[in-house]
Parts: sequence; C-alpha cells; structure tokens
Amino acid sequence: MERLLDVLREGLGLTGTKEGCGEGECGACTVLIDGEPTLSCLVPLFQCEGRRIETVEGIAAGPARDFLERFVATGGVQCGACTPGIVITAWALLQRNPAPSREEAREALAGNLCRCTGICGEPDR
Amino acid sequence: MKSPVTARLRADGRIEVLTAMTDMGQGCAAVFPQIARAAGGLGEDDVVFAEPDTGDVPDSGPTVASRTTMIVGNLIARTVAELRDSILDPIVGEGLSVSDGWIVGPAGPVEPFRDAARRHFETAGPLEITHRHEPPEWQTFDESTYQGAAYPTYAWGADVVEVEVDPDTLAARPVAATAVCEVGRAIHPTLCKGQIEGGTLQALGWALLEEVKLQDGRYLNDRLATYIIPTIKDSPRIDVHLLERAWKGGPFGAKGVGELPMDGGAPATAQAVENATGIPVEEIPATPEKLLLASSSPVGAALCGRAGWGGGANGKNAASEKTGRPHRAAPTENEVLP
Ligand code: FES
Ligand code: FES
Repeated sequence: MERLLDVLREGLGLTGTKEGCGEGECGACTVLIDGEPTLSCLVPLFQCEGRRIETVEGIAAGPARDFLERFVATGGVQCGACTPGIVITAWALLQRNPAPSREEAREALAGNLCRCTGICGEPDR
Repeated sequence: MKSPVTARLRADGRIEVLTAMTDMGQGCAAVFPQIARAAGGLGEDDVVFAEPDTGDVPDSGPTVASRTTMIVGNLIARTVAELRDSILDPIVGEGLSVSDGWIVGPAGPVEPFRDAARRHFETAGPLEITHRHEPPEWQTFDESTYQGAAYPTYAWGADVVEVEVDPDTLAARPVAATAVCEVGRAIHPTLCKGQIEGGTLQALGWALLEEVKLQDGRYLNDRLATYIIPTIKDSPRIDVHLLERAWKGGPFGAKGVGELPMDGGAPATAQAVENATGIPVEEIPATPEKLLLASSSPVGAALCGRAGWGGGANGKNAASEKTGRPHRAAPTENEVLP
C-alpha cells in the first residue's frame, strides 16, 4: 500500500515534504488535505481520491511567500528537517485564525517535533 | 586535523570555495558565504560554494567538536583573501584594495573586482589556492595518551533554569531558562542564538525526559513514540545572551558554539529540581520515578517493592555528600517503575 508521502516524494519528486519517523510522531511529513494539516506518512494513497493536496512547494509558490521570508529571517529554521511540516501547520493555523494567541500557537504546533531550534520562539513570530 | 579548504577562480571571475561541509544545521550555508565575502571584500554575487560532493571537494574534516565555523570558516577567510591578493597583485596601481566587490584606489572605485578577476583568468589561466588547518605551535596533543590541548580555545557558557515540580507526582517542568554564552564573535547572531536556544531545549529534555533504555545491548526505546523529546509545549521561555570577545584564532573572532548549550542546561535543571524538592538528583533524566526512589518517601519504597532507601540490599545507602540526606543509590533499569 503506497503512502501519500511516498507518492509525493518518489512519484512526483516533491521532496519538500520530509519523512522523519514514518509513524505519525514527528509532524515532518505534514501536508494539507482539503486545507487540513495531515500526516502524509499515515495516509494511504487511495484515501486521496478527489481531494486537494497542498505541500510546502505549493504554498511557498503562492500566498505564503511573505510568511516564509519572516520564518527564515527570525531563525525559525536550522537543519530544515522539521521545517516544511512546521510551515504547513503554522500556515493552516493562520488561515483559520489570523491572530492566534501564544497558547493557541503552541497547541497547534504541539505535534511538530524540532530537534534544532525555532520551536522555542515560534509562537513569537 | 590538517583539513584543507580550496578556493579557485572561475572563468566568469567568480571565486568558488570548496569545502566538505554539508549544512545539516551548523549554519554553514549562511555563515560561510558571509565569511568569504567579508574576508575578500567581495560582493553578494562574487562567491559561489561548490556542492559538498566528496568527488569534487577536499576533505575539510567532519562536523564534530563545534569546529565548522571556527576551523573551516577560518580557512575560508584565509584562502579567499589570498586568492583575492593573487588577482590584485598583477594590477598596476598604488594602494588598491577590494571593498563590496569593487577594486578601490586612492581616488575611489576603479572597477568591479569580478571584471579584473575574469581578465586574470583569460590571461593567466586557472588559479587555485588550498590552505590546511595548522594548530598553533603551542597547542600540542598526544594522540596516544589523549593528553594535552585538543583545542586552542573554548567557548564558555552559564545557564540558569527555573523549574516547577508537582509535589504529588514529582513531575518537573521547566518554566524559564537563561543561557549566557561567550562565543568569541557571532557571525550570524540569529542563527547563533537559534543554536543556543535549540541546544538548551535539548539539554532540558536530557535533564527531565530523555532516557536511552538498553536491554541486552538493544534499545528499548528506539523510536520517537517511545523516546520522548520536548515538544513546543514543553519548551519554556529561553533567554539567550551572547557575549562577544573576539578570539584572534577564529574567523573575525568566532569560536565554536554548537555543543556548548548542551553542557550547562542539564546540571542547572538537576540543581533546580533538587532545590525545589530537597531530593538529591544524582542521575538524569530526573523522572518522577527516579525522584520517588531517591526520596525518603515510604511510598517510593512500597511502590517499588523494596525495603526503602535505608535498607538497600546492596548497602549503597550512604548520605548524599552534597545534601547530607540519606538516599538510595541511583536506580538501575529494572528498578524504574513501569
Ligand atoms: S514522518 Fe509522518 S509524522 Fe513523522
Ligand atoms: S530545524 Fe532541525 S529539526 Fe527543526
């Protein structure tokens, strides 16, 4: 059974989406399915029929450009393994809540692990 | 480690720098170009970095011991500056220098450096300079006894950690952390602070959560579902203060910083837990189970089915040197509560 993550990375060459753990723990593989942040390592491809999948490449080329620049300028990225997942999750949060509180931001990002940096300061940015 | 770095002149007048460093979080993709441009007086677009493909680049050493910026960065500065001088030397003129990508004389800007570099390539052909790391003479290290000075300098840090401990469960939570680091010079302050923030969070995880469990030589918790690291919700406010005292052996005064924040955070957390609970913390992570075992609580003894801290079968029941409180020896794997 093919996972959405494999189809994105290997089938379509969209390597922006990362595989961290492959078992739903780290959030690195997060993509938007019909606008909802979803772990693509846990999604079998057949569940995606007729649904809209957005990856970090998609939002980076579109409306999230400025958001990404700010993300980089404030040091929200170090090794980058977690970054696509964090970007997708944070972007989805901002779509449904343009001015989240610190607590709301922490809650939204609680499923995205980061081993390097950024994660401490993220809600400030 | 006599690791080399190479700079070569390209036909288009750009300087290409070759190192083996792959950026996996050291920040070298940002910091190296900064160093190369500043050392050469070059413009934004005058320097390119080769992909660190081992078939093309020299072996400029591994990413270890926080050496990337300090050692390799320093070699880049030297190599690029020397390559620039070799290009500048044949140009006739008094007191020429290079600044922001322009050759500048006493009367002001003369021409873009890249134009002169391109001409140099056309007339004199390819040009390449390699430098190797040479430890200063006074720095000697004996590889057989592992004695001596492994490094010419160190960065320094101090950490303050504040914790809250639930008196019922003994679960400790970091509330705030402050890291003060003397880094020589921060080449990229945002990345430098980010490394210290992230390293401090990792140190807090080490102090309170992260425990590598082994049984018969195998990991019991070899995945993120069982090896628990801090999430954003476990992360307290972390204040980072950089102290900059340029060190003359590093590029523009920089020292290595990557590992520094792992040194002080966990001991500071252990002290804070000890201070809050009165329970001696002599092993990390200071999980509730370990704290309960190390405490004088009869509950700990009962829960663990042991005779309590005073009656340990192995006789390791001496008082803690530091606190004067009697305590059990640190529990072994099997003694930890499920
Ligand atoms: S790779 Fe999907 S959650 Fe880690
Ligand atoms: S930047 Fe490295 S894991 Fe987040």
